[in-house]
Amino acid sequence: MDSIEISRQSAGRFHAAAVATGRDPWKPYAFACAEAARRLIDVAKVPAGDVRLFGGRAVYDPDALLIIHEDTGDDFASAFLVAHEIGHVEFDGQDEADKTSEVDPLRASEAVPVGVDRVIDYSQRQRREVQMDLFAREFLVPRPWVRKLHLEEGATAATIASRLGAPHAVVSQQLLDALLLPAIEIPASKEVENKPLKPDQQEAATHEGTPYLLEAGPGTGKTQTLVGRVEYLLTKGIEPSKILILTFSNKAAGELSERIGSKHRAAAASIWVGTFHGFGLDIIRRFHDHLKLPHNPKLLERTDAIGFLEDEYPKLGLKHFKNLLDPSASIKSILDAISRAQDEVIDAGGYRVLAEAMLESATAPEEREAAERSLEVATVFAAYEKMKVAKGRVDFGDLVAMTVRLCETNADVREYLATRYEHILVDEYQDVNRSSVRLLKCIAGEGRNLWAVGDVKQSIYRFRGASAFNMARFDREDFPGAKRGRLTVNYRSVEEIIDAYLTFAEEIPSVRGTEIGLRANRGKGGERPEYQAVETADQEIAAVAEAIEELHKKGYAYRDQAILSAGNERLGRMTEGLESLDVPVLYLGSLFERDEIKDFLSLLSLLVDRRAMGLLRVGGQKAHAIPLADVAIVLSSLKADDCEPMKWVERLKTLPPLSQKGLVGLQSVAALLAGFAPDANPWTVLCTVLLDRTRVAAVVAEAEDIRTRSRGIAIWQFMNFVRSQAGGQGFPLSRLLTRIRRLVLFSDERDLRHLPAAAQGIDAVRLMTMHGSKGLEFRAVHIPGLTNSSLPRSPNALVAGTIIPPDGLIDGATGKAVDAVKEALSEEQQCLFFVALSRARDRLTLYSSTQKSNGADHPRSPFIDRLDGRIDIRRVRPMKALTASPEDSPVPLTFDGPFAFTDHQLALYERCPRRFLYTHILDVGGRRNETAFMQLHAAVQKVIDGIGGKEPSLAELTASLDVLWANHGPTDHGYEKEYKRIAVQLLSFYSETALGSEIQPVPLLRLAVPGGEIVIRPDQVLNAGGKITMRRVDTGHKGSKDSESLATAAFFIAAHAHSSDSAVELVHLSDGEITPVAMTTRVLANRRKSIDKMGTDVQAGRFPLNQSRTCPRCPAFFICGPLPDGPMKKNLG
Amino acid sequence: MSTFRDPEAILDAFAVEATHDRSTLERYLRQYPELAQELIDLSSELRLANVPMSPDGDPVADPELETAWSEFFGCKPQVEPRTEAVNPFAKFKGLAFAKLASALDVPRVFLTAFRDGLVTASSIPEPFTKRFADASGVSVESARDYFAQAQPGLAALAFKSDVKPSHQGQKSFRELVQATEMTEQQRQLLLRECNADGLN
Repeated sequence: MDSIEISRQSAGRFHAAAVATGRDPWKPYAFACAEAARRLIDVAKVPAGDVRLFGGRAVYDPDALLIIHEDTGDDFASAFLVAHEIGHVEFDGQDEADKTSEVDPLRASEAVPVGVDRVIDYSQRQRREVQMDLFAREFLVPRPWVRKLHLEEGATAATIASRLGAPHAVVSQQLLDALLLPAIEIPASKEVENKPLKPDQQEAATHEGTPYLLEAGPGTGKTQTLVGRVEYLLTKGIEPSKILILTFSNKAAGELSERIGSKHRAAAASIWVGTFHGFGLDIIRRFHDHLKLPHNPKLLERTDAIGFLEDEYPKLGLKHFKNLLDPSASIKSILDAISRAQDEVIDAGGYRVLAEAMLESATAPEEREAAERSLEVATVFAAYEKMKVAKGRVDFGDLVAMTVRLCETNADVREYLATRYEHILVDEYQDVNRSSVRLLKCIAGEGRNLWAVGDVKQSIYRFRGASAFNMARFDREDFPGAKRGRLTVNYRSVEEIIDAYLTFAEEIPSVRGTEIGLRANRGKGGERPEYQAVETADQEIAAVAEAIEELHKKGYAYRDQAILSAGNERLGRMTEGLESLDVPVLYLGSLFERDEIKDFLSLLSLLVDRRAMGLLRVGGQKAHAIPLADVAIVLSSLKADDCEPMKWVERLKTLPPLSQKGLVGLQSVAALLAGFAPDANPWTVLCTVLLDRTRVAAVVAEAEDIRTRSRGIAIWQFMNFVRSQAGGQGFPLSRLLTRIRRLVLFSDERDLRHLPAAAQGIDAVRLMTMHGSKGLEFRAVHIPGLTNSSLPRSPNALVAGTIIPPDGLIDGATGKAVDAVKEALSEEQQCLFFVALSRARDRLTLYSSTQKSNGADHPRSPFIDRLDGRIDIRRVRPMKALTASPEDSPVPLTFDGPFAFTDHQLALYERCPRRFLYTHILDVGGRRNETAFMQLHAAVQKVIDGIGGKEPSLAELTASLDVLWANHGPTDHGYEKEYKRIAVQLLSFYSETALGSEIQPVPLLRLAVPGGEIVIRPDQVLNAGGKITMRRVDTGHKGSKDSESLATAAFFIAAHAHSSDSAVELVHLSDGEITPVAMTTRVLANRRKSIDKMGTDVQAGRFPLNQSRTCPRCPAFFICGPLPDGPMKKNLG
Repeated sequence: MSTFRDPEAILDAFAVEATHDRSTLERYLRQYPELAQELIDLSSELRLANVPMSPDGDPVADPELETAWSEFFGCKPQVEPRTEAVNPFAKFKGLAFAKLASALDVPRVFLTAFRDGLVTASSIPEPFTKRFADASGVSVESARDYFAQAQPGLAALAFKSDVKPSHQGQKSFRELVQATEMTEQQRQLLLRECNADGLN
């Protein structure tokens, strides 16, 4: 439990004690002054900027027992300053002076783990200020107090704020914490931290004279030894400011700092503890002028970087990575490759040199292509570097790579670093990459006072360039003369578990032959780890549920049990399954795709969306149910004219008659958002909805069940995210929605899945990935999903989609880079499994299903076989059965006559029936042309549609483009000309496609399906000497399944029905290619069946969601899910 | 910190130094700025003690004495902290400070400005200085000297090495009265003192 929480809770107690003595908490300033007076401290208000403030906003003067604060003109703000200083007096002591320059009454109790905050954590001093801000807020507006006011007296945030004279935001922030987070219990004793070091730990902690690498396997007391080392140094009289501790994560840094601070508070504040990246940022800030960067360069997030590069992309002339439709995916992979290069301190120039060397030595065509691809990456890399310089930004990889280059080339910086720190400690050395090692060499020189600890068996960040090689090379090359030590006693697990994971580890290639034995301090536990083979995937979930319950009966609390999975994908299904079997689980999953969060996003979108699409989701909520038919009436009225967002509220009376229920529902939605304009701050809107206009937060607070509490935690996490949005152009609401789409699209929101620390006490089973389990321990660990296809995954599957670095980029790798990458990834998976196994203290259970969904055998993971002799194997048939996962309930639609869909609509149906429902049946959304590329394609498509199958002369096409470009093209884009050039290129290919043929009138083709028909109008019909060819023209690139898609099949079948010997072709303008369609009879028959099924499903209202990576691009992304109640009648003839 | 050292012991230590030349004096001044006045006095005494006297009691012309005097004056510019030596606030810390403020019938935050050198010396009315000297038990001259020479800064903060001392200049006595919350009675008293001294 950290000191921030401890001080926050004590603030609450001071508040309660003051109230008990008759002080009035509704007069915050007098209340705070009285608390100061109780401590014999006088409070004085002086004008802002008064000399007595010494440039600060508040000062505590111990010699005069006096708090001086600036006159803020607002009692609450002044009270906050006073309470902040009281916090300093309480925790720094009455004799220690303090000056506070900045306070933040809105401070979040936990930082948001996305974007910049993920990189830089608070420094120890900043943490102190955070602590005091939270102390002050809690003292003035304690959580239990506002919770009681809201729950028992029905007070809203607004009423509390106005009575208190406090900002609505401050009360809201406090209410959110009070209602949505569980109360945190502080453990009574801290015995773990005060245990004396064992002899082997002691020896390691006091090593002197040479660089030192401590090999510390799981559960051997690594962190304790590291803290012991720091204490040893402090006892020796080393200046704390001369100690530098580098860790792998901010979380680890925070924990270390806490542990050191619990005994050596003053020292902990002076020791630099943080990540390599955080340290790099410090150096960059200090020497920013050497780097020609602004004083405090802004960090560039990957999501933003993709956006910027997208703009540059058309100019780069790429061939292999050419993507004229949606280059973001390619850019993401290229950025990953760039980041990997930065891990090796290779810049764009260096990348190009390596790629050129590759090209020179290439003999086989695939080698040539690999080299060319690397050259293209170098091109994008250079553009990216230029863009960062122009914008004065640095990215995550720069933080270390740039610092290394600076140190290696600049004597001043080297001198500064060499003298700045005397002792350097590195945690998790197995996870450092080459750039980190080079940085270390800059700081530590020969490393006489370098002390590192790591475990090569737990090296699970290979994809970030971490490598077993760094561990091996520590004493051989990087720091010659270094000594190694090893901790040999495990204090965590029972002997049976240790035996199992060590047996597995013996065969990890970089471990093979080294000494890894551990003595089990706890001895035998009496139970060997177990592997349970179950038949199906659903049975596997039931088996896990039964095992959890069985252990629960034996005294294993739910919170002491964890389920670890190799990937995120399975965890969602596992959560649903366990919940349906009444096992309490705690798992947030993808935050923005959770139901309650989508509800909020849909509601928010109403403020900026003229088409009010969000009603389709909001109307489905019980609190303001609006029948589907009524939603449809409102939506169709908005489609007709482009009124301001929320204007529908004023028009309800003029619309075709709405049901009474619909009217009430619509009015209640309007009331929720009343008074907010499109430029509203989303956090404020949501606070108002949650805390003033509904009892949503209150319901969560009063709930006992884990599912509702998880929902509360998700909402809290979401609110914390929403609050911390950076400024920018456009409405904050639109920016928020766009950012969320991008974060999900590029998987940059993963860290939001981690539970906030405050949730740790909830008694529910933890679900997490193996990666996420690093550093944790549980009494019982369950590892399901151990089939041969999930762990290990084949190296080829692992590298698919990633860009292989050019040969020679990876330091220490000999031979082909691709082999080094595969080898590293293959070893990483073994380490991952090792990490997972070694989290268990008492019980370890592994599971796999033995049957695939199609009934075929599914062999277990070969990793299980490596545990042979150390585990019990048994076949299990669980008693519990999962209820079949509830199918999306059918949409209550009736059709007025037969429907007619185009082949384009059919194509969308094939991609995702749910999206088809929103777009073509419910008639909302439509295409989102969010990027310049999408706009370009829209313009070109319009030109082709307009030509209507006539002879396409280039002059005519470009003339038409000129007209359409103004409305549809990316006209406000800096590189508009480049985009237009591409558009002309596409059209010129289009005009060439018909050369030598006679253009024929385009017929309307029809294909009957159950319930209606598919209507196809070819884009072009050619007659070359009597041979008829019908064409579909697509402006984009050809997808791998395009020639056998349902739409193509429908076109093919209908074309043949129209004239039996006609040929069918697909034209893809971005590729400049024409593909003849040829389908086997069997494929055609299958497609025909699927097309008919579409007809049947549409009639029956079945529109299942086909979830994919590109969901965030879908217009219905936020609303996708349950619909309002039916029925609804539709005419789609 | 330095306030906990025994001044007598320090002065004794200085007295038994082999020489009492300028460098010894400077070394002591640097180390014990709060004893500057005493050290300088003692150094003069020690030097004078060594000066041979003429039968009529007048000091004879003595080159060493000349040197001593010139050294003494030569030291002066570097002896800026000497005023801290008679820091009248030294004995008023914590509750004692609070008592001093109430004895003067001013808020604590009014008084800290004097302690921290934030008041333009020439603007401090003589009656106040006298009252202050009385209440704090120092001579009016010492009080005046202190007000004249105290360097702006919050002493307690200066020990926090990572907090950069920064100050925004000084205020006049009258400005200080205006910028400090106090009872009307207190304010009137202070303004009367100002007016009595003919200060604007």
